[in-house]
Amino acid sequence: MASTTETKQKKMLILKSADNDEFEIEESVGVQSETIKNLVEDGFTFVPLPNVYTKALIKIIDYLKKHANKTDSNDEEIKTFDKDFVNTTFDDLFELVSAANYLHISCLMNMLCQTIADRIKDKSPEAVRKIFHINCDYTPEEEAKIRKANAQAFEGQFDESLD
Amino acid sequence: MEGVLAVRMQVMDLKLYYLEFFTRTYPVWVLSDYCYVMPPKGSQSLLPDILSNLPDNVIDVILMCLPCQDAVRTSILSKKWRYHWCRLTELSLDGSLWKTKKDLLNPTVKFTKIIYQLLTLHEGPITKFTLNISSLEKCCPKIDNFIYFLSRNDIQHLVLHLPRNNLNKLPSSLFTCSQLRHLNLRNCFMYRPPAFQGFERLISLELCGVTISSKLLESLISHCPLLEQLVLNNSPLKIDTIEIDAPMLRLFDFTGNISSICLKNVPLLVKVSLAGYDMYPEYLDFAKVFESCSALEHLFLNFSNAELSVEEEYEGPRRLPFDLNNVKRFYLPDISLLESSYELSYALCLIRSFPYLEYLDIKVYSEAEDDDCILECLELEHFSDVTFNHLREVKLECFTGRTPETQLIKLLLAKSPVLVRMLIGTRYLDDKPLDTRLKIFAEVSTFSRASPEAEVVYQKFKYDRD
Repeated sequence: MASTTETKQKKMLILKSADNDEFEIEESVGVQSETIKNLVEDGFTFVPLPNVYTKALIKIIDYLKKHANKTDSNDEEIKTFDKDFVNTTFDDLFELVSAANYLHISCLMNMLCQTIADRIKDKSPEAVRKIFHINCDYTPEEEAKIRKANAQAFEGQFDESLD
Repeated sequence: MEGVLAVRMQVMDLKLYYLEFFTRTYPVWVLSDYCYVMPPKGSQSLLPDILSNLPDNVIDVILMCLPCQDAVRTSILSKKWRYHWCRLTELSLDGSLWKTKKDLLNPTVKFTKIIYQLLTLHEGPITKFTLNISSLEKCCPKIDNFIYFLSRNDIQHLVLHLPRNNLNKLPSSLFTCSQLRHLNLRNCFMYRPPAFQGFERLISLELCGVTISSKLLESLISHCPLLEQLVLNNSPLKIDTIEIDAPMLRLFDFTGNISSICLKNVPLLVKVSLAGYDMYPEYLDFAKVFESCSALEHLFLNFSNAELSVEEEYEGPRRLPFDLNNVKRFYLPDISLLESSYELSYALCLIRSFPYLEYLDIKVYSEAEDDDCILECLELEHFSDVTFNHLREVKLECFTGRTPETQLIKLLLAKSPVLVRMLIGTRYLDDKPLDTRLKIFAEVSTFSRASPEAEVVYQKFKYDRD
């Protein structure tokens, strides 16, 4: 049984990052991305990814490999992997979420968005602006008006930390 | 195509190179047409706004992961963010909305205000809506109009958890949500509106603490032709029997009085979980419950009759009048089987009727005095008509090493010719002195095994119950 699966040639794909690095992965791993799956279905084995940089692609391939081997028994292991995966800077998270969005990997995308949301949660608007360098283009009067209209959302204590 | 791409990427690289170069040496306005927008006067930041630059669909997902009030607060970030949250297709409202320190308004009034504000500002479809006001103590706000609003905005997935304390009538506007695919209701009473045609697209229905007549429940289920999942939890059904007619049903999860259930027309049903209480032998009739479950593969059972004193000589049926040939996995992890001969006899009756069983998960812990009745029940000679020809794995939780437990192990080992593994949870055993444990292990190792392959593994399960 084992020998037949070994002799069967595994189909491989080459992914090319925006910085022209090439990565060879198994087709079964790659097709977890809808974008790659569509290309594979059209007969491509070489997949250029002009929107995904090497740094993010390496992490994403890691993620895909791990999740391709999902079984009933390694649930805990995958959970730990996921936890480590999202334990990174905001910059990395945004890079990854853009890549996951482009590649259409919905489970990764949801996990990253949930992580970003969890980190923004309870923060004051001022803190969120500072963390993400959002330029507030409201006049003080406009801002006061919006606060008043949604008063209940702005009551209470917020987290002012910037991490 | 490849060549073109390569050239394009080179150009991009070049641009990026300049970008890096320029940001260090030149004022930022040089790049204003590239990816930095010229900040308005008085702005402090020269770094890119990474959050706002994400694609809209990504921002939507992030906002949907936030509690509603946090999403609303993003409207203050900048003009671009003003109405972002208003076009979310999935919204979730709960108690955090009115739990504030400066609580001057009556929560119900406050809640109503928030709902109507949302209703005025929201644009586009709302496909999923969750309203959890189960902790609201004051009277339930009027949500009838609000649900009507949802019904005209393509609602497909609706979760309504109404206040626990006073039972509320379900708004009749719910029955106008004809596009519903998932419906989850808690704490309300339901009555049939005059013109209800059914939920033609509904695939999952969950009713928890919902008072509903058997007749209405039966009719509701039969008017959902695509229903695949049905969860009924503590819905007061009393002794009335309901017959479930759901040709597409695949999963059924029931907590309540099991004897009131009859799975009538369920040709595709593969997973069933039944949890019940106050079981009376004269009512509980598994033959009726499983009458047409020919496709059943997974059965999870939890029933108890702790308050019921069964007469000593009570004998349950030996097996069902029919075999269920597709049942592969049988779980009884919460029943102290060896505590009452009544429960044990029912479990054995079912096991005998599952000739293709592959996996069995049971709890063997018992606090009761050794019961001759139970030991008698487990004597090998009562099983001359049975072999577990397909049983490959058995999991026994909460093993303490008492005679009925080892007797059950002996029985399973002797009757399972293809058994691969028997996992025995030893959490309770670990408190015993070493020599007692060794004696028990030694005893188990002498039992004859019908399967030469079978191994007995002792382990401390992660979820071994207390």
